[in-house]
Formats: sequence, structure tokens, C-alpha cells
Amino acid sequence: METEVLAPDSYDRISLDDVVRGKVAVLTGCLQHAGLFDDVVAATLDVVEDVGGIAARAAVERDGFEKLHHHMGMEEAIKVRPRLADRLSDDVVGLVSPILAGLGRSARSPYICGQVYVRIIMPEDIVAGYRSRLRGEAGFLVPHSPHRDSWFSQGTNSINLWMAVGRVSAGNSLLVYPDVYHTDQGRSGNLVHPGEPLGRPVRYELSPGDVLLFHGDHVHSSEVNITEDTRYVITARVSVGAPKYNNKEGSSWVPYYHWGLAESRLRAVSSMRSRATVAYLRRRVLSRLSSTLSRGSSTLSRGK
Amino acid sequence: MPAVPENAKVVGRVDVRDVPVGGIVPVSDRVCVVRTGEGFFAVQRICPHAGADLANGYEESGRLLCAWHNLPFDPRTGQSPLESVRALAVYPMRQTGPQTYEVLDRDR
Repeated sequence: METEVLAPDSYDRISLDDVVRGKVAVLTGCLQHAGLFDDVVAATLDVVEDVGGIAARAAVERDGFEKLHHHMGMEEAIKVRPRLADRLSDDVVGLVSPILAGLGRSARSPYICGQVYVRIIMPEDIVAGYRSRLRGEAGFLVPHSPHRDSWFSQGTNSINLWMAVGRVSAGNSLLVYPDVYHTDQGRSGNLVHPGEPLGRPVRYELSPGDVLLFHGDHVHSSEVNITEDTRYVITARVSVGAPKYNNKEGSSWVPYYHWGLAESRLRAVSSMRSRATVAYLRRRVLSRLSSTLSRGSSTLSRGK
Repeated sequence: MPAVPENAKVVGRVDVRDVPVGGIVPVSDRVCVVRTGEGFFAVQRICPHAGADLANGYEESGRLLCAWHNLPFDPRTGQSPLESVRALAVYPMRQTGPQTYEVLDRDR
């Protein structure tokens, strides 16, 4: 597998079509070049302050995100992650669009996933005590085991934009397994079976602001954090054309925005295609059912 | 390498011609042998971090790395850099021929 390392003047040498065919690319200094880095840092520090107070904000600003665990415990990180993800997701098109704009043209218009993911992996000796409690946080607060994203009901044409906000080093990186890109693996649930050979993984050392692009159907995992630094990255997803799913559309629906429409006056209808799906209808029905039940329950409470 | 108990049970055998430098071979359900630049070492196969098969790992700079999360172990001692992960069991080996070794159980 070839990894392209591209400086800002050559981002257009890679297209999403190349990535969805297996190529991996590192766009160096991309968040700074796209004018996004300072906003992401400011949003992060705001949430750190909301959760940990002004002293935590000042300390993280002084020491860097790599030393987040010196100024916040895991309990606070558990609160920071979803709050920050929600905040960054509010303008996901504004986050992803400038990155897409710099790439080479792809044959079909990209769709931007409406969810931004925040990944804060503290050193493993801190994380280890929380691993059983944080099973649902694999890849977000604890290391993820080898998987393909489509096994988690993401599209098979999904691409990850893995954005380093803090430094990513050997010993706390992402692992990609190029030898098994186009092969079948035995599975244990949504993960590769622990006995399956995967070949030698490739890991990526990134500077703050670098963006790694890779196909979600590459088998990938988290490197267990053996460094003394916290690894902080955010990720977004795009699909090349509308998302295509293996068997199901996903148990938790998120909107996908047609990039061309999202950047036009038709932005309001840019997620229409993702709303014309069974997953969306299921979510609507469950949401209505839940609010009906909740109204019924509060009526009963008042009647007591 | 741990000392060899006199009545040690044989848990596996290895012909070193089958193991190039950097190679790892399983010798039983629970033991694999890794060859580094320093020699041959028999260690437990199941990674104590997340349960992956270390026979599918790789060797780098004298360390055995689990391919699942890239956790490195020193095959001479079984130690990883993490306090939260217990060391690998390291098994004694006994030479039985010019190119052959037995891996012996460490509990007998």
C-alpha cells in the first residue's frame, strides 16, 4: 500500500477516488492551511474549561493537548468527548468542506457525514482502569481493536478524515493493515477474530494539523498508548457518492450532506437523500414513540 | 531464558531452520517461538492486553510486537512497557539436536 505525504501545494494530487481504492494520504499542515486549526483548538479549550474550569484550560493551553491527562482525569475526559463532538458536529460541513476543496476531483460528489468524532486516548496505564466501563468508547477514549468501519454499519465507500489536533507519535498512533485490505477475515462480532493473521501494521506519526485520509474498509485499529502523551485527534467521514451499505444502513442514523448542495443555496435539502432511508424512518418512529411515552408518563405523574 | 526444571514436560518442538531472524512460529496452542538477532525465545501465544495471537505478531529491534495494538514485549523477560499489562510467560528451551529445540513447560 502506498502512502502519499502531501504538502499544501500538492493536496490535489490525491482524490477521494484514490482513497476509496485503498491509497492512504497524509495532508501535512492541512488544518492550518484550510484555516481550521485555530477554531478547533479554541473549541476544544472552551469545552475543557466548561468541564475542568479555567485553571485546566490555562494549563492545557500552556502544556499542549499531549499533557491533557496531567490536568484532567478520565472522568472529565468522559464528559469532554461528547460535548466537544456535539459542538464540532454543529458545523461539520464548515469543517470538512475546506479540506475537500483542496483535493483532486473525484468522479462522484462526496457526501459529508453529519457527525464529528472526538478521540482522546490517554496513556494506557491510565486508560486500563476504565477499560471495562468504557467498552462503548472503543476508538474514542480506549484503543480500538482491528475492524473495518462497514462492520459497524458505516458505508463501504466511507473515507475517514483523521485530523491530528495534538501530536500523534509512534506508540499512540493509528494502525492500518495493508496486507489484508482486500481479503476476508474471520470476525468476532464487529472485530477481527483475535486469531486472524493481519500482517504487519503501518502506523502514522503526525504533527498537529496534519490530516490522514484512509478508506474505512481498510482494517485498522488503535495503537495502545505506550507513550507519556495523550493522543488527541478528531475525525470526520465522507463517502464517495451516497453511502453504500453491506447489509444494513446503520443502527444509529446520522445525516449525510451532499457536498455540492451543502455549499449552495440548496443546503436545506442537502441531507434529503439520507433521510429517504429505512434507518431514518426507524429513528423517527422511535423518537416519536419515546416522546409519546414520556408525555404519558408525565401525565400519570401529574395525576398522582 | 528460565532455568530448565529436571522433569519438565515438553510443550512443543521447533526446528530453527524454520524460523528466520524476525520470524515467529506457533509450537503449541499456547506457546510460540520468536527469533530475534539475539536468539530464540519461547513465550505465551495469547497477548495479555487484549487476547490476540502473538504468533501473528512481528519482531522489530529485538522486541515481539502484538499486531492488534502494536504492544511490544521483550521476549527475554516477557515484559511490556506497561505496568497495567502482565508480563508474558517465558518458557525454557532445551537443545535436542544441532538445529532442534524442545520448549518445556515452566510449571513443572
